[in-house]
Amino acid sequence: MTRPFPDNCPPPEAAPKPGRYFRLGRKDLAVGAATTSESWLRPYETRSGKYYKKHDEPEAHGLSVFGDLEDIRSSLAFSNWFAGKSVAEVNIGEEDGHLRNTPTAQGQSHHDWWTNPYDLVPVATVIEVLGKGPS
Amino acid sequence: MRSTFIRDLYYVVNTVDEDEDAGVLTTLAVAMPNERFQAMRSGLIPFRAVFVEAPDGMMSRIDWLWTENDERIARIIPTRARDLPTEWLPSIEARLSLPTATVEPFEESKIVALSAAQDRTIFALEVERDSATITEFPARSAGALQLAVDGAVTSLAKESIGGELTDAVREMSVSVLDLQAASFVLVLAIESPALFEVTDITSIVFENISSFVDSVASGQDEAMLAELKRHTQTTRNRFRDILRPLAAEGSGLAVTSVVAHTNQARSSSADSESVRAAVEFIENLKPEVSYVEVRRGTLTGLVLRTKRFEIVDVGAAGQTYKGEMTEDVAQRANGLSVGNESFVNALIRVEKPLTNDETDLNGIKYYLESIDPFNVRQGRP
Repeated sequence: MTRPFPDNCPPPEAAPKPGRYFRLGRKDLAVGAATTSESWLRPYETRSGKYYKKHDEPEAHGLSVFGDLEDIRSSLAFSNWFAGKSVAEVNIGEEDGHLRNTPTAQGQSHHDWWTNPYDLVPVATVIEVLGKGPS
Repeated sequence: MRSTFIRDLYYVVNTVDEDEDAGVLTTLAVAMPNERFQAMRSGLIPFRAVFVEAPDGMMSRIDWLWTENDERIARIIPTRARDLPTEWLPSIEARLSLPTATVEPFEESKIVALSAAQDRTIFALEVERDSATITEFPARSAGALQLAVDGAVTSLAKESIGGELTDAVREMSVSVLDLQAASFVLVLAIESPALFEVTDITSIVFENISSFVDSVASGQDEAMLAELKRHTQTTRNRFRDILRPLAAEGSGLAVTSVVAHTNQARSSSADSESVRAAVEFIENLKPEVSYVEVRRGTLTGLVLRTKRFEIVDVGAAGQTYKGEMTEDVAQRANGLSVGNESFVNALIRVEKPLTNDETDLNGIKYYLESIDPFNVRQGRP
């Protein structure tokens, strides 16, 4: 179950940044498939992540999305772990929450997205499976 | 990540496989010294090299599992590079490209302390290279920058005492003390032959340098032009020479100076776009044009084929003018004799650039506009 945001969340630096973003997802989704709630687990729900169970930290509530599809594609060169992962496209509107640019080693376009409402399950469609070429 | 026990030991951890259904995550962890970590982080070495060149005993495979009670278990298996499955390796071309400081970071307070300790003026030039991810700056540009700064300091020092050369100014020079990181920072000091640095002069020198950098940062052509015109052509040339290597590297410039005995730092900075625009402005500036009427000169040189002339102004303490002429003027000059007894009157156009690359004549160019035998008077064109 998605938990409400803790205090000071979203962080003050985050702001609405409407646009087209991309979300890295599970390997069992094919191109054209709709994402499910499983695709949008918050960091505090993701066991392999560093924010697992850290409900009190704002970062544990931010969904990871990329503004540039190439940043996700280029990640494949660094680790085969990305091969077969699905990439879903999501359109984020002005009212859909706050985003903060949080560049990572994988790319400058990485953002954390604090959804509005906090338990929003975004509607998105898989457009590519990494390592299998764009659709 | 950095070791919590050994200061200069780092671990690079890469996730290489995942069984999403079983919830098992496989990572590779390689231990390495700071220098190797920086080289990897900045992209100097391929990411793949971290794993294929890992010495025996420095790499482990770590499988992360979760029990039914949600407890995390790490299964650590020492792994040798030669045993790694190919699909766990990054591609050959994969390189990180993260800005990485590879030398001591620059701190303004350090040069204040250094100035106080050494009783001399210390200053820092911060530059950057737009394509560099580590603390580096091309030697050619760094050399050009240092030469130009040294030239600007001595030229400004000369200006500050009205052009008269004293030992204090003649032997004043700049020394490189240190390289520090931010982007790339050159720490320099004023070398002075006197027992005590003449701070009356160095304070003016750095006031002027800061003022120039501020004018570049303003992005206002008129402000920069006014600033340049306050100085001699030598100083103007050196200011331009400071900016040129920076523009070539896509760098901005930040100058932090601490004049001896002041214990105070002054900083001025201009971003890379302002530096590039300033160089473009200076190099495209039209020269100042004036005219000289030589009432009685001797025609000491005339080459009609190449349209070159040389006239010595008898009435102006032998001032010599050498330059070019147009086809029309060449035809007019055809037939004139050359020599110390060949008196002419002439009108010469003088073009004086704001800065120049020539070592003689300050880049001034002379063009013969009209010429006649001495007893014939010509008006201006």
